[in-house]
Amino acid sequence: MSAVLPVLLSRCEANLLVTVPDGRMPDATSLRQDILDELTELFVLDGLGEHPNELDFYECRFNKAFRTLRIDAVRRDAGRRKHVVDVVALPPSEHKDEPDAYEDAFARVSDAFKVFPTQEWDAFREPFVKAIEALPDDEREAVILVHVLGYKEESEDPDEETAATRCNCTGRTIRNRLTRAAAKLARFKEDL
Amino acid sequence: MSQTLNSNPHSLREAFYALSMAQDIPDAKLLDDIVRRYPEFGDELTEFAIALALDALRGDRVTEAAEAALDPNVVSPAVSRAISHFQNRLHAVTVGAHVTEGKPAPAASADAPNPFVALPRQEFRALAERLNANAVFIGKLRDRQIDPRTMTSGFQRRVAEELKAPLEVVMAHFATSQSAPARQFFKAEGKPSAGGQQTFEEAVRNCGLTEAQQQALLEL
Repeated sequence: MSAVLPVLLSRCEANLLVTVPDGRMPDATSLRQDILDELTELFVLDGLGEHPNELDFYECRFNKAFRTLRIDAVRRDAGRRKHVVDVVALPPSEHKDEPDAYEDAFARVSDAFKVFPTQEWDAFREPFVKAIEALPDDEREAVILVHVLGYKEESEDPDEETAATRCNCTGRTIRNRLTRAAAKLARFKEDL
Repeated sequence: MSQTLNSNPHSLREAFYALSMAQDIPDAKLLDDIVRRYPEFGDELTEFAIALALDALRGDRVTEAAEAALDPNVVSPAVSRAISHFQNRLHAVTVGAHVTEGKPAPAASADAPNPFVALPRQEFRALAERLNANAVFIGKLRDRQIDPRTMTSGFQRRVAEELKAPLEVVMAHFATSQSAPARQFFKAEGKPSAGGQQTFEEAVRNCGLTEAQQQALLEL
């Protein structure tokens, strides 16, 4: 273990320097350290306590397991910092009357998840990711749930899970969020 | 560091692993399946699935390139600290297990964690200042050049406080048989080798400390 651990942790740190870079979130340095420490904690507790097999995930598929640890740590860190923002009441949605003005922007989102990784996508990736990340949380969630995970905006079937049920809001709210997000993504496309 | 670095319930972490392992990019069907298995974590799983999708969008190529560019001979300060964390926690868990079993703590071994070794240079100097000593003296503590039987318990407690390390870890470090330093700072052209131990008083007197500093340390 003493020989392998530095190599393994160095590899993980290299990964974190890319995936949790300075500037993307406050105090990324501390967060990266926390993630490395959490990983070593799994080694310490392997075979101990009530849940001795957590490290099994890492033995099977290390990259995906470490991705899980990292995303969860970032998620918790963001949750701690999250500001509660009052949602401003929006005017009634005009969504139904619009001539699919934003469909092209959303097609870009859906396509992005189908076509990568290609050389064409590599050139497009960074500005596209930045545009998605720049969306407010609620709009980004709506976009990903509907146009990546494939949820319907809402459903008349009370048993069907939709973007609205996943976000604990109404279908109209989801549509409003999508409309706002699409306007921003459409602007992003024009800027390219 | 505590054992609660990750305060999520274990079942939530298990749900996250299930979601992450199943597909590179989750879809509605997968998320629905996992939420059905862990209904109490619906909101967390939804948030996590969205984060997974965004992560997939960023792609693996850059991280793979960064990992490939690693120099295997270089250990960064962050990795050193993580290794130190691992060693300290492992020691604490081992000692805890022995205490639970009603057995005495294990005798010092050559593998006892060295709480000084992961200190960055700045913190190393800051520790010297806090102890009203200098880097030479702290180096002797780090390299176990002082016979722990000649140290006062007050001094050992003070070192543990300033290091923010458990007293047991610091005592185990001092009690460990002396060995050549594995890394960190030395100015000699060759790597230093283990030498004999000094008494605490000898170490204090021969480090270039002022009379007042010597007196203060000896009175701890």
